[in-house]
Amino acid sequence: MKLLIFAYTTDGNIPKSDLEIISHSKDISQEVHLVTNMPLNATIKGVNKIITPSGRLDQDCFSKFIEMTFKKDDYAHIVGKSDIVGKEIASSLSANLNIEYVNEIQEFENKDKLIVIRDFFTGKLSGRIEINSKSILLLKFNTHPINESDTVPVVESLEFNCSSNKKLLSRIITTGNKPPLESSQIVVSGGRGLESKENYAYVEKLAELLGAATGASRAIVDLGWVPQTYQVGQTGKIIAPNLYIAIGISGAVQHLAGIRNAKKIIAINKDPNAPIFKYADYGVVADFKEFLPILIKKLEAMKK
Amino acid sequence: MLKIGVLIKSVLDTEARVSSENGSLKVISGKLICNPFDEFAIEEAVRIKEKIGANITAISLNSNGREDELRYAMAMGADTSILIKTDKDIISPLKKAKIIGQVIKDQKFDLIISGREAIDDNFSATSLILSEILGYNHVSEVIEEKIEGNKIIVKRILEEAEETYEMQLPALITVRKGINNPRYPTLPNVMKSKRMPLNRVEVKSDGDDILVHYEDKPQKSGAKILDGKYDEIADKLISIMKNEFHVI
Repeated sequence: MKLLIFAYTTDGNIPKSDLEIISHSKDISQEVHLVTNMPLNATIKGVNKIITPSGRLDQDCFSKFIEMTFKKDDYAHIVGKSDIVGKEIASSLSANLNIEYVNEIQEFENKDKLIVIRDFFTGKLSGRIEINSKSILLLKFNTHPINESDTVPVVESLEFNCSSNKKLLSRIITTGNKPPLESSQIVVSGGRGLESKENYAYVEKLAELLGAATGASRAIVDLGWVPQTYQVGQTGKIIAPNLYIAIGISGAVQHLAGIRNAKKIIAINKDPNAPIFKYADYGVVADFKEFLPILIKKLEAMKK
Repeated sequence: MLKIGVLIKSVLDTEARVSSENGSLKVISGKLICNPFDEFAIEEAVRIKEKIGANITAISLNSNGREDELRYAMAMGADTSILIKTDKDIISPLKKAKIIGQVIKDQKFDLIISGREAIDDNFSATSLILSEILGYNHVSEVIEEKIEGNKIIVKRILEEAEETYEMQLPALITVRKGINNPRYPTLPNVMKSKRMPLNRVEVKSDGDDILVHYEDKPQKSGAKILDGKYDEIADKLISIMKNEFHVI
């Protein structure tokens, strides 16, 4: 089975999350080709072939480039990363190639036939889908290790002329030097139990010490304490960090919908009956104003 | 006048309890509601209508013939609606997009709006595929939009960046929370919506192309509450993060 993996880059470097997709794809395929939207700054080990356009393509043109590449060879499936850009590209490919498309895939299973596993109902159920025909498969990232490889690919650069109907007026990086919520290994979140906007500083301090991203419950987003982009939950972000620390979050169903795939959860809440304790692995029943300064001090001491 | 289509989906509410039974979906409790993200889509369409004038059509696809969410959209301000009733449940976004495309291709919408994803299957794909089938420009995850003549300027939020695009109409956008605060329909509007035009289209689908075998997930057993003085708890927590979770 030969796979075509697509990776979109804004600077010619392939993000770590895409290396994970490549590594995971090799579990089910002997031959993987990588197609990108611009020439790369460095080669990517582990793939058999890299196909790039000679210049830089925007998302819409990249989709057409992938389409052309896919038609030229006998690929079994197109594989990519299940992020927003990946989903837009995959939707275009699904329509134009007339092939099925499944995203948010957590696992591949390849015995007699290929089965992909993903969540439904925002993590309440798991679903197994048998893939019987050429498809586009988008994988969740931050879920699998990256295995090193010595395979050195051949690189093919192709001329490709394309004009886009969309004009990008501006692009602003919003995460700064903080890790983005979606891909951070650790996320520290705060809820209404923080009592005031100023107390969100505790969340930020703890996150900084742990190298974590910061999140929030809907309650404090609606109160205007933090921007909406911080919201974790049903109408916010659905995340799967290795560790989620919930401070002053009671654990409404809508919030839990965002963290069902967190591998470990630590909850800090002064109410011993808060529903979050049913879902957490470890709980601390404490007033955060007294407990967090102690924890923060110890972590600071460790850093030195 | 600007013609806007809004795609809405009836979904099980967040509190619904579901499980699997021999691989099939079993709903233990729960009610159908308008997909929360689609409420932002309806609201945005109504705001455009109030600002520059527009005719809004709400569109929904299901197999149970349910029209409540279309009535709700009309109570919020949509002018008319189309219910596409399929003979079977369909999960495949490609299949759904093809069916919707077939039904609405002659409507010549200038703008189609939908929510960023449905909270039942979390695919965020049907509307984007539809857009491509119709040959429309599209941008997903929109937090702000402005129509200027035959162009639309949209701001969207990615995982790590914020982008602003300009594109020609016809176009499709999917919207996210934060773009507006959806209104509650007034009682007179709710009453009025019951008599408003709703066109039913029945479609034979020849089955789904994505078949899902559902499985329950392991239940969490509850947190181990750490006890002792705050100083001791902090030490325990650091040790857990270091030695058990291996994250620091």
